[in-house]
Amino acid sequence: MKPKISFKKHSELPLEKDGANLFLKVMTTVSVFVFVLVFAVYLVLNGVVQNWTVGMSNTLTVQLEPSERALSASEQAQRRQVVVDFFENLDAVERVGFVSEKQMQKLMSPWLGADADISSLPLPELLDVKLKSDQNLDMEKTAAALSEKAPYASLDNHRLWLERLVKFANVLRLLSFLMLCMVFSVCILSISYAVCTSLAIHRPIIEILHIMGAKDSYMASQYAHQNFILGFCAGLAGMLLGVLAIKSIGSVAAHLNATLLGGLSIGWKGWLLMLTLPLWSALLSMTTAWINVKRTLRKMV
Amino acid sequence: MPQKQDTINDYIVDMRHVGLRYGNGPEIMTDINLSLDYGSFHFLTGKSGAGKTSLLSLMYLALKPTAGTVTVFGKNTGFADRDDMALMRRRLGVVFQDFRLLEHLSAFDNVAVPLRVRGMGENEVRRRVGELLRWVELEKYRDKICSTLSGGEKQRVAIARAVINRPEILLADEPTGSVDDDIGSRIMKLFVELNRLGTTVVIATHSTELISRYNYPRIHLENKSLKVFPPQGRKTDEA
Repeated sequence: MKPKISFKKHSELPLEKDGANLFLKVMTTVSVFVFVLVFAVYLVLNGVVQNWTVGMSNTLTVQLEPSERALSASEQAQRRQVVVDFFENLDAVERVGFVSEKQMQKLMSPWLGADADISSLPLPELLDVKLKSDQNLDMEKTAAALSEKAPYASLDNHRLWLERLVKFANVLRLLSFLMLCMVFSVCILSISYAVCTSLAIHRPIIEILHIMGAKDSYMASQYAHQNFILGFCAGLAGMLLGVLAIKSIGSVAAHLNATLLGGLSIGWKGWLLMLTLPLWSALLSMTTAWINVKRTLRKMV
Repeated sequence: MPQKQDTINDYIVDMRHVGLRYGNGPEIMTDINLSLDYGSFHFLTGKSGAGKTSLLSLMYLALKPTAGTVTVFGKNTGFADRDDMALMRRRLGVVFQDFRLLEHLSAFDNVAVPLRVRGMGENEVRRRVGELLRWVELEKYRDKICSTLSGGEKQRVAIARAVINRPEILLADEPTGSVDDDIGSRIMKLFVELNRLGTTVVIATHSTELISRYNYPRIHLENKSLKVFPPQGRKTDEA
């Protein structure tokens, strides 16, 4: 049966004077506050992971460190060929190509100027590796295999580091999701506990109401009504405190200029969901109360 | 007003081989057989602890027998679901010995409970409760919280609550115990009048004087069983 909200003034059960109300208000406020914070972390992590994933395009760069001794042209070519062969033999690789001297000149121009002669500098050679979009390359294994085959070559470790960071962020995302589930469960358990305590306290009144012909749903609707209001007010307080905390953290983070974190954005959909939390809290309180009252009353005569 | 019902059972209350015990305690009633006709009036007597209140509790469905069957309004209470029980209780009126009022509510709200639980509109509730409170001379106490009322006032509130729904069965446990003779007589007149209009009435009492004043049969509980005695009082019209 669906919970129904009763807006009638008369309530035979003095629920608004229940001692458990304060406990329930505090628990719900704290739960919604924690929920807002964890939810914000979850949303931020979502955005950050998305930014980082986009940053990891389907190309990677391999550096060939310059040799300490002068190499002949054929030795130079052999060094290059070993690395090219290594990548061309990988299934995930689509195309391999060295960065030309002209391109290198362009890359270095911000530091050395447009006319600098870079041929005399001990700069590493760069190899562009284009990956197939439908295949994944295990960066750690590839890096290990490459250093075995060509110790002078190394994978661009920024991508590797970013990949590890994404994995870490995903673990955090999972943890924050589990925390959301825990907060949700604690909220339900608190309401159930408060309702069961209240039912035990008001048992004599409930017995009289039963004898007067009240159905279980009559008492349940009084509890649902009371808990809807309580859940909404406590949810509103928790939400406002949570939003305030997020704004405070946001303004502190803004001073850090953490560009790597992609601006810590929650997004308008996230804010909208947070603003509806008092309503969700009210509905959760109401439904939990309704179900618990019905279940407990079934055990009475 | 209540009419004789066309049901599968000829009695409004029918108890067959009823036994009752609380928890694992000894049986307080054994093999009770009792049938109440529609529109009948009975006194219920017995010593303290004989089981009068328990017998009434079985009738108003607050207890289920541990043996035998209790049929009320033609329905075996053993097979009635919770909502059925609630609907059956709406056809009953009960006056408790200890009143069992909702002490935190006003006299008006207490009397209004049976009407509100059945979802009656507030205008009709106000009209009917106001009328009845006037009749039991409690109109000036209508907004007074019940915990502040005297014993006699509480008793009248309890009686008003029991009859507000125009019940088909009225079960009263010592209904005149806490009121003076004048109010007691008026209450008894109300019960007699309700009975004339078709309500089945059972009144548990210790008062032999009350029984002798009215010409109704008496159910007597003793040694875990009961006996029904024929009317012994004056003719009801004279009382």
